[in-house]
Amino acid sequence: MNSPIPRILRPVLCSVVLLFQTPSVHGAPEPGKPPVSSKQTTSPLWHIWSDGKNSVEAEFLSLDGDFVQVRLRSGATHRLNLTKLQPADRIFAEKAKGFITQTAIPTATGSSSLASSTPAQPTNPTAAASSSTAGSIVPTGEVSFRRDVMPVFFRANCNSGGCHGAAPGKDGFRLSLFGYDAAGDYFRLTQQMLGRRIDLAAPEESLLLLKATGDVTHTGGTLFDKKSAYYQILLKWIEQGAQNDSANVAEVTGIRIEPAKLLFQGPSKRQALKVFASYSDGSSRDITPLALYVTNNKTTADINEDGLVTSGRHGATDVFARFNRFTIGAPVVVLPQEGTFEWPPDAKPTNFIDELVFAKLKHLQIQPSGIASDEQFLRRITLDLTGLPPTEDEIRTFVASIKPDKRERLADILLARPEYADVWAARWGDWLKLLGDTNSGSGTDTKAAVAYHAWLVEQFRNNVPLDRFIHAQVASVGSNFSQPETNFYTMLPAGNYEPKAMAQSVAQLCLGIRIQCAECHNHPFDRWTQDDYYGFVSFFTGVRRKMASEPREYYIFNDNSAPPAKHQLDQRPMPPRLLGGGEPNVQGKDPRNALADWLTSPENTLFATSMANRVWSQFFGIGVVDPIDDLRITNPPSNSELFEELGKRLVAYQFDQKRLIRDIVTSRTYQLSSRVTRSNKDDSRQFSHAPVRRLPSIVALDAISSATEAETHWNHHPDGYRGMQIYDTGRRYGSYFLACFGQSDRETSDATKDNREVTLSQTLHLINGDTIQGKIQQSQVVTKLLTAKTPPEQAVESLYLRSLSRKPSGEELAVFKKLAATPPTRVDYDRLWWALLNSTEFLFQH
Amino acid sequence: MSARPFRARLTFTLTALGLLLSSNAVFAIQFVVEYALPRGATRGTTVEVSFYGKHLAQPQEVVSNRGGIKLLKFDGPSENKDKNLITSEAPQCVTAKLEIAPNCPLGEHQLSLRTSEFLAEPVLFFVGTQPIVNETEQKIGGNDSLEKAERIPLSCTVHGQIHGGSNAIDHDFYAFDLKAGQRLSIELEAARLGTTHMGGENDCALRLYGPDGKVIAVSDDTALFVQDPLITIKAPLDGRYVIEVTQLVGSAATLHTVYRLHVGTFPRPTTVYPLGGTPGEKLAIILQGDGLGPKNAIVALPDIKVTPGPIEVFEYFPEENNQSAPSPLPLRITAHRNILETEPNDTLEQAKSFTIPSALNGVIQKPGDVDLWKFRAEKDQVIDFRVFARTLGTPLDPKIWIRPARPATEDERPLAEVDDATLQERGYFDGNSRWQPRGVLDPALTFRAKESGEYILGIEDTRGLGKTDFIYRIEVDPHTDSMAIHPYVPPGHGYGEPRGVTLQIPQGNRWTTIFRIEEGLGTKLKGEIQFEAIGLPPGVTMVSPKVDAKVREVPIQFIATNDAKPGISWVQILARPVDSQQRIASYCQKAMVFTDRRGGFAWRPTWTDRLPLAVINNAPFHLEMEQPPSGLTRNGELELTVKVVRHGNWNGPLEVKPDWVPAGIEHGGPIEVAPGQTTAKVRLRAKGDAALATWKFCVFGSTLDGIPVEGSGCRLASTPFVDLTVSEPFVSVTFQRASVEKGAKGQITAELKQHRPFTGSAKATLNRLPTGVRLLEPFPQITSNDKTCVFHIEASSDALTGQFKDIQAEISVNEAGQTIRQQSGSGVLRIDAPRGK
Repeated sequence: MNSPIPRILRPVLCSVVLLFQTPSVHGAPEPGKPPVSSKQTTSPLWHIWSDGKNSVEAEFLSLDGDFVQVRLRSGATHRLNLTKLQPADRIFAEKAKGFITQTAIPTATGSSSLASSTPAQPTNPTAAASSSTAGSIVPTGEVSFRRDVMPVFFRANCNSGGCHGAAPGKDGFRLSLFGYDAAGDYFRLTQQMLGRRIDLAAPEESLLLLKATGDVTHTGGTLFDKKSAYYQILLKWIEQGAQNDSANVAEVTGIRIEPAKLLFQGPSKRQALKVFASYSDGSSRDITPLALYVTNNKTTADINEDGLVTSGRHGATDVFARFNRFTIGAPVVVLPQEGTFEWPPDAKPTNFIDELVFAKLKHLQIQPSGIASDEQFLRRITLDLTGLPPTEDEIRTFVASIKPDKRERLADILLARPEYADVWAARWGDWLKLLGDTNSGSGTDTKAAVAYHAWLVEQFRNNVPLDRFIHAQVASVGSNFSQPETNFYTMLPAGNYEPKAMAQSVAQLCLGIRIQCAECHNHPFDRWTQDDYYGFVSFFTGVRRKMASEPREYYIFNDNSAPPAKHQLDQRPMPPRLLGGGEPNVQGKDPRNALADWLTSPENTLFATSMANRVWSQFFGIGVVDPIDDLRITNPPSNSELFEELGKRLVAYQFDQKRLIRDIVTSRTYQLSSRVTRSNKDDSRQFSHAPVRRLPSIVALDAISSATEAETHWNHHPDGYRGMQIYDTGRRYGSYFLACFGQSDRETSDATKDNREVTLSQTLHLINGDTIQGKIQQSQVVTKLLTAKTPPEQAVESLYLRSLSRKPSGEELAVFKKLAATPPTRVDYDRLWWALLNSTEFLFQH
Repeated sequence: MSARPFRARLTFTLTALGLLLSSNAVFAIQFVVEYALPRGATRGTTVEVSFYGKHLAQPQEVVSNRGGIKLLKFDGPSENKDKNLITSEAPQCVTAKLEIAPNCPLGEHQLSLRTSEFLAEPVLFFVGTQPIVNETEQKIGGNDSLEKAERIPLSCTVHGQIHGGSNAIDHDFYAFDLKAGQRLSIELEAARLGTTHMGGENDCALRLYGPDGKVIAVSDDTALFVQDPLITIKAPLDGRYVIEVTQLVGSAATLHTVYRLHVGTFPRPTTVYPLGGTPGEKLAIILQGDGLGPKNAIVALPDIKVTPGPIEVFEYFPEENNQSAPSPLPLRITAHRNILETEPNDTLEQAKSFTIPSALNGVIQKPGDVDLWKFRAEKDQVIDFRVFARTLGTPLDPKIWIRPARPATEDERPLAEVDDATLQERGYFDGNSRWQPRGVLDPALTFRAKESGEYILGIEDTRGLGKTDFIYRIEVDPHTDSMAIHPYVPPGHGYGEPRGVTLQIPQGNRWTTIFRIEEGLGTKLKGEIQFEAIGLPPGVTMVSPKVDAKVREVPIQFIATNDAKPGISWVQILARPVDSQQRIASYCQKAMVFTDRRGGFAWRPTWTDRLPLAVINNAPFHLEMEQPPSGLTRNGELELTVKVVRHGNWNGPLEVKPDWVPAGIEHGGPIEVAPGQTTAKVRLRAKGDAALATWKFCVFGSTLDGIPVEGSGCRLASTPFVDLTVSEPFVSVTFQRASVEKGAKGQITAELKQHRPFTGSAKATLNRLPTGVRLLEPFPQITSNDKTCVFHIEASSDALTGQFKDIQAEISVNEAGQTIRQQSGSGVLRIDAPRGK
């Protein structure tokens, strides 16, 4: 068996030197030594060499069991057997086990040697490290409320939403959710019920401690025992007088995780994480025992409360550590146990999308599926770009074509079709909550909705760049009739305008982030704070809507003298502040202009990537970040390089959506078959095969109407309108089909409102309901085939092409002939029609 | 160029109607005339106009509120055979042949139809100059494409219709020829027609196609006409042009509606600058928006003598080569001298000075433009500012503010700042808060200077927009108090539609209408108010009480003699302070809603300063009511007897009810008087907080052959006024807490507080005793001297134990032969279980 170690290393892999710079604890320097700033800390780099002259550097990835994963600078990863590596001196002797099973974090200053069982034995192996002692999380000196006590509440889940962090608190005691309000927590703990929660005279009798240890009844149960460090911290703090912090107490400025990436070969391997916090006074601290840990996908990598990661199924995911208001993640890759991966030779990239998708697949050792057939591709792209299935003629023409670039040509033709704009107007109609109403006083009158919809169609028909599309709406001023883009501010549930809701919608729509959590507390799973939230809300506090020349018409404008939003905690005014950006000078101006400029700036990667991801998701059913409007640290892209590059391309294309779509639909990735392989069967995030997607509700209904040539009538619309063309949701017209198939109710901007789930009621409706049966009865297709005395083979083929976009197989034809009369009657064809329209193949995009 | 004589057009709200719509309009309000077709005619022609509705027997008269229209003959009534039947509430049809005088006023008229028994509610009718062409399409599809376009002459007015339908939207295409360079103006009257009462969904749009079949212009809403479109262009090519009229998808595509489409080479400017002048002035103006570009002109303003009210406008019809625009541009004619802005005027130093009174005229030229004006005011000087922009159809949404004429410190708020105004502040005294005429977008402000000095008046667009047609006029006056009255249907009285819109006095009978008094901008009324009628026809007199200025609702009665001549008159009812020293501008107003929106959001009510009054044939009955010998006490009841005098052989049923009661007084609802009966007892009750006053009070009677709750189709007449006095109660009662055992007797003691003496003794009883407890006879009798009163009670064995509240004493005093009942007190009685059991 070939060793995974490259030849150049084999005879020389004998010594591993660890050069570590680990942070000091609490910033307390060793006597005579300056404190080591956390900023100087880098990811451990292993220097592997043979004779002291030639050296090879490798990045440490993970340790699992007896193996260490390293990555050479070339990018290749290798797995080394460390069975015989032993700590050679006192530095590692004490924590030998810890060293092996956790991370290569030194426990003391000094040097050490490791032995390897690889073919080449180490000669004079040494390992050197400099560090201060990791020590205990219990401070030796004064206990700080914010620095030491608050993290205990966090770690022990005392201040979580299900416990005392709930808005009304729990069992009479409230803490701020995840500790966003330390001052308030201190007050409630020490002042609210004086002498009850904290007993300075008899610290051990403090209710805080008695509850936590279960010595008195506690709904939350026993959280820790008296020997635990958590208990010791709380006790010591009370013993010291339960003091509040001085004004200059160091604040956490960030956290760091080690290792930054994890790689496993096969399941059930383990690797521990270490987490460090940096403070505003320049110090840093190992807070591994104080952090909380989560994984995005348990089946790929699980993580326990101590930060120990256990590998699972083949694939990639992320694990996260949370501390204070910070969350940090580490990507985890789990490779197959067997190292027999081969890349299919014909899977060559056609553009940047394939390059980035395939690179990730190679890294994950996942093989892509083969290429989709012409029929499959035609059906897929036509449904995606026009919301309709291809016609019989289109299928025959496309399949018969021998032009090598026929797929690219098809993309161009479909992108130029008017239905393209209808599809995108409907999509954005969902996201923009486009609804018509007959109540004039609500500001969401039908006329405004019709105008807004027409404006959307026009934007996509003219391929208006997405930055201009968004800018026009965010900074809109004027009448909701004559400047329909102002309906961005009228399409609100019950017609009520609320600056907070608007700010949330804009962040979600334009940046793909959800900041609503930060209304009441700092975002627990992302970086957004209440300061960010209320600063962003202030862009919308001046927006005014008033009834105009008639009750259906509204003027949208900004009161430039309107005060900004006030912070929820201390009511201080929060001037308009960009998310993650600065505070533009908008005194006396409409701040929405500055906001729109910033939002749509090419430098704003959040906007570009979010928009590109929205576009991407329409062709794969999921985004590279998914849900597409919930990008956060704990929901990172499945392929970061692809995510970023899509954004960059959109900027380079000057936000030309069609150009980006053309890249997508002409990529090999989009054209992959939906038939999975043994290698990619578990993959649902890396685009290794085409996803099998249930048709969106409106597409499904239009597809049935189109195939049967039986129109659907929409109230207040003349005949001939497709579902995709109506200005609001069809379910408002009482369409059971659309409600059943999850059409968005447009009550929120949430991108997941258009539900693609498959439910039993859908199946039952198709089988028993009036949609398919009604359309077949209404349809003249079979009548025409019979009138024209079409031979049965051709008639069956016609029905197959109309519904499934492919010809019947010989076996399928034979079954029909066996079941049908000779010659087949209308009933026979209707039954076949019914079966085809009821088939999974029809209802799904594949 | 021609200018129509000055015509006052006033406005306001049908409050009761609005309330009805905003609450639960479960029934359709019905009218004598629901709609009329066609909706207009050409000057100098005769036209047959059909009025559709019910109760149309014996039509007598059709009158326009502006004159120029003469009835030649009637045909009908007959069954309504309008195949497009706009509303099913119109089973009958009367056709009137009308002669439109060659000098008939152009534009909007209100046509009123009178039968021998009713004066119908007016319908809108439009007079133009162009020949009329009727659309020929019979059903959807007849002229629904460029190819199928109906051929029309270049200058004509098409009377067309949008057919209703659930599966298709009607599109009407009309083709005509043009030469390159010719002006083409197209104006649509659709929503403005008010085809049916309350119908405002007639929302049409225009699309113009050039000779190459491509769309040249589209129009939906306009600043000038709001919901109605217009197009005016210079023809780019010779050839066949096509105009398409259609309704918007999703708006109300199923509605059947009618329109007047004016196509021609007439001038169609959309704004005029300045927006007004002085009486008799030859005003130099600039017209903008026309297809051939801006144009300077002179308009001769009529030399009016009367100071115009805040909403009165002069309708200027731009004219060129004997062709007139179909609809006017509204102008103000006031005594203010015009001051025109001089740009730049965006800074303190550039602000143009004016004195009071003045009319300031300017344009918010571009986005962000602000115009500053400077004026001097002395300490405590009160000044009225009224802006006219949207009111007169310009696109500006103005906001004004006033600051001291010095650089402002940071965050210094203006002394006053106003964007929009209420209906009342704008002078729309008759109105409903849900109404949204465009005029309320214009601010109105009464400013009191706290110190002498110079001030800056700033005006800008609320939205920050600006363009060359964002024209405004600010009228600045020394403050004048103002007031208005309008007919009013009190809430809870149904629509009372005929009484809300018209005065219809049966010969030899009485008619009462409630009027509401409104205070104008910056006005606080005081003293006593009296009323004056202008224009009453011979044989009709008005009876009206003087009221305190705090009173808002006043019944005013009209009496027609037996020989008063049937016919329609236009009258003004005005309120005046009794104190002749008070300087108050007074207006009479009536608003009618011809173009409404669901939910009562009317956007184009029509206001008028004269009320239609008709003398009609006498009702089949009249009512009498004698002056009650005593009045109401607070918390007391009073019963009034109404005598029904039937005329001739008429013996039908009727309904009697108070049309209006003063605040704090309740009545028991309508009382039906069956055939053969001649009296009705009307019971009134005063609440504890009813005002201590004497009111003029009457009761209405209505036949039941129409819809009494609306008044539609019913013959109506009222009793004469009687004086209704509300006074303090004779005595008030405070109960001591009491208890009684089940199956036993007990007593309840009341302490009496005497307020005013009464003669003899009064009977005292208890109301609201709990079940199982009865008051034992003899009931106590009390006198003016008694301090207590004891009620003997008995609780049955099956009475429920517990504490019962709100037991009430009823004292019946016999005064001047009439029993006056009053309620008082709120006692508590505990019922106990039998002791020891």
